[in-house]
Amino acid sequence: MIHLLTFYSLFLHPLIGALKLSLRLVLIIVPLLILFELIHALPFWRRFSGLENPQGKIRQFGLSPHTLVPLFTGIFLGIVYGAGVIIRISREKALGKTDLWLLGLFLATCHAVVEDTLIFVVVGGMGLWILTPRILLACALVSLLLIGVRLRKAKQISS
Amino acid sequence: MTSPHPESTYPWKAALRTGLKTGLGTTFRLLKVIIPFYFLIEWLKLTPVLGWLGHFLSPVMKIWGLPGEAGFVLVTGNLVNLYAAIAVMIPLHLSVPQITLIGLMLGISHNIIVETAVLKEAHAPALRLALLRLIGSGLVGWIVSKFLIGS
Repeated sequence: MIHLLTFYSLFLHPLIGALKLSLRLVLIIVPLLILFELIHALPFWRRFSGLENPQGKIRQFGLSPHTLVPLFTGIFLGIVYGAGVIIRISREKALGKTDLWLLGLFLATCHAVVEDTLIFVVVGGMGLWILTPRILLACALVSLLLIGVRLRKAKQISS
Repeated sequence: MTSPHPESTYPWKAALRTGLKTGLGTTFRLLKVIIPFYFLIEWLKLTPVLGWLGHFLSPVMKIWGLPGEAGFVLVTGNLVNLYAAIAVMIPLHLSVPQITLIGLMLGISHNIIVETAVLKEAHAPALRLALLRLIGSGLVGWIVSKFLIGS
């Protein structure tokens, strides 16, 4: 009996959890990336996102327009799904070091904003106090990164 | 791989096929890094390690105006996930400002092991980001605690 219980808590229970998790990831990531491909193929999107022109960057910041889709996926769905889109996009080798830092900084501190906030609201937390400082922190970190990138660029030009 | 098609027709079939393929491939890549850590964390939950870390943290909890037991909640949230942290938090019967503060701090940094592995798989600077999350969580939590809880 003891052996059976140990086996359950050591292996069976985690295995069931892992299978459920895998199923959830497949059920979200596969439709997400199908949607991604469908939008990706739209002529409108190709023009808008600068895909037709690989050098086309969000000029002021030196960021790739490719950062937008994983950014919003991560903010609303969660970091694993954001990472899924990042992995898909990196096939095109379109994301530079700055892009990955930006995505990482924002998504590491501020992702799955709806779910993460709601589960604490349900047990009595104040939603605005949970969400607002988190968004401000993410924006502050990204601003610091972009200022740093600009300073480095200015240095390179002057030297 | 891309079949030649006139510019005017929308290649939805190719998109569906590519989406399915990359979707499955990406899920597999993510699961490969998530599952080992998932097991590790499940096993960690069976050991007294989370309790030790919580004890270790409880004297410093007053920095954020939180009771010592909140250390267990923060440790669980950071090493396991938010749902496990809430399960630890509910029996503590904390006040609304305290719950809010914990929600904020854990919102910024939670599930660090799995999420760091995932960010690393996406080639983001994962370890430095994990450190920034922990620092950000403590710092923002400290500032906000001055408004929510006072000192």
